[in-house]
Amino acid sequence: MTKCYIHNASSITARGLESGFDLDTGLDALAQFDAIEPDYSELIPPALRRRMSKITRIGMANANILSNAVHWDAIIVGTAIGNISDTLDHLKKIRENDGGLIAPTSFIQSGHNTLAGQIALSQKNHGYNTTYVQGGQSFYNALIDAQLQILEGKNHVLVGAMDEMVTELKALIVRAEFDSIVLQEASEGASFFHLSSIPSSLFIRALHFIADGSQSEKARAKFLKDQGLRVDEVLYFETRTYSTSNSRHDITSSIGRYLTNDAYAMHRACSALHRNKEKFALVSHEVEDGHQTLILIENDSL
Amino acid sequence: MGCVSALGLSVDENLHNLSNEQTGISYRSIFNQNLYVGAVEKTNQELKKILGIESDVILSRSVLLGKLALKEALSKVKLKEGRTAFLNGMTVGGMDLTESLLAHEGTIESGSLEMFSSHDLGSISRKISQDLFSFDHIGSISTACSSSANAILTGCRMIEAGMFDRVIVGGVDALSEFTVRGFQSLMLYSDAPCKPFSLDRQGLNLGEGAAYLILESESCQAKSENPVLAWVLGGGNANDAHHITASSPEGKGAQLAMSLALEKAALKASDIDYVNAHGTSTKNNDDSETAAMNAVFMNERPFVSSTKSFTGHTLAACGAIEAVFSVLSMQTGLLFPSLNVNQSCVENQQLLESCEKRDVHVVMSNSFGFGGNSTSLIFGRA
Repeated sequence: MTKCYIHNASSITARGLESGFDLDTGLDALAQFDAIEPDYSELIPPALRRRMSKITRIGMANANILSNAVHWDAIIVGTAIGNISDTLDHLKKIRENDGGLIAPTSFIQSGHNTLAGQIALSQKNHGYNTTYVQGGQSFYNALIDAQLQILEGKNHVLVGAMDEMVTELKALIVRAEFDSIVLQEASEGASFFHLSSIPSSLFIRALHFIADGSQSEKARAKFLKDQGLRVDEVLYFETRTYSTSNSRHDITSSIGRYLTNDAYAMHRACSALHRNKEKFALVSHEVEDGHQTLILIENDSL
Repeated sequence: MGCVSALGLSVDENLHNLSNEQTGISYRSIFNQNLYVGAVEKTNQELKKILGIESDVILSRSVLLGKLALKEALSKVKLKEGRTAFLNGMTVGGMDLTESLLAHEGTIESGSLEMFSSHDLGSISRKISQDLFSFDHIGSISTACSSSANAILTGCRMIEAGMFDRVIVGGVDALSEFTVRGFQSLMLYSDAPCKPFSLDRQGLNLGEGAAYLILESESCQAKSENPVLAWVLGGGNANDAHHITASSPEGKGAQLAMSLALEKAALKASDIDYVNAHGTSTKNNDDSETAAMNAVFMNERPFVSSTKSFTGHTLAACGAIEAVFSVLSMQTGLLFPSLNVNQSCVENQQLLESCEKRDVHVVMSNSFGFGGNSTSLIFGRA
């Protein structure tokens, strides 16, 4: 079977802009959880940027960083909530302007597929283009399609995920009466990857879905056993959205809580394998209804 | 297959009205204005009653329409063995609840949590499937008006790769003020009934609905012995990369999608008997799609029509609803027309202005959306 290699990665999160596989080793807890946006002057043309909401900007900047001299055969994006700020803005305009004609900008930008479309548009890319919107499984959905693309013989796939945090969502978190840490760490971010059939050191070894999250440790061990691996030869990266855990592998407080933070965890996992010359890393991500998703990365260069 | 649209609550009701050239688009008062819309006749309370759901349960209209269509599809088959996935296309999902929350309770901050919990599209797919079937995988796709066409395409790819034995594919969108006012702000909403491919068309009418098709691999079908209604022969996904809302004059994305679908199906343009076009009835789409068909079909003259003149533009659901209509065309040998055409803007293909009895073997169905998303599917008679 064709392996799905990971050539490059770029993220914009509360940790700022981080690209490549040589990320800072320290993964200390964050003090603030808003995405720290980079200087966009070299990343997105100003005329284009003015119309973009934060989620589109951070996604686009990552995509452009990875697109240097690459022609994408497929552009695949995952987002749980999508372009919530433009959506709320369009709703506000409807309420404020009873029956009258309103400006179309926020409606145009509000689509979940806005970013994937904008990337294609700015690169004049006519290739495969799609957007997945399955809550906490949105990035996982996108990765499945990316794997299929590689299997079908495509060479270069841009895949990533992003979600943004707005005050309205924070207000809902308060009212949903989650543990106070969930509000405190409410975050946002975007992470994108260059996947390819062309060999490099890291590749996606397997994706796996755990239906019963309460038995996750057992299920994870079984998954690794099925993959022919021992539990002690794997680096672990766990991310959560709504709950808390005492696991020493849980990196949620270092990356913030948003539904697609598993994409950033995968970036961290790639970096750790690359820097530490380790062989395997497993990203496990808490999703809705007590399910979990797993992404197993292998380092081929060892 | 299961199908709910302004034409009816089941595949049979849809077929009955299509065959009688009876449109589902009507002039009515909705969202504080009078509009031509393709509304499903039943209220939310009536839909809940049909579905056996308590009237005080808060559910988005998208969930109710989706459940009705999925229930119909499931009622016609046996799903015993095999790994089964659900792929659902949507654009607005639970926007109706978000809107009603804002209208009645003021702000999202003070409104009902339950109502906003349907805003995330993935939750709509989960709620649709709840109590109907336990899927091994649930995925949701949002590529504007090509969402459910992409669900069909991706479902086929998953089966082809051996990832699942069976994938239930389709999509849903309920009417919302969000989209009505949005298309009005773009000057794309027609004050008159839409007339796809008519020179004097003035824009689209929105509609609502849901449709699901059950795709099985050949080996899975051999075991399930479910009736084969049709084959998906091929599909293509491309991006127009021209403008965020408008299609290119030459319909580059549409051309590529149709060509890729033909290539995947190993068919020539001359093999296509009928094209169920995207045909939204906007000036831009129908001109662009016509140009693209001219480029792909050249001197071949397939029949073409847009059934959006019956259902309105159901956004994310249209690809699946029109896939069901494509299958019905092959099953019944009846081609459904574009209604309200005064003067055809189609030059090279044969625009159907009334129902025609034909021996149909291969149908192409197009779906194009904002963001340049263009998908074409090809279905073959069983």
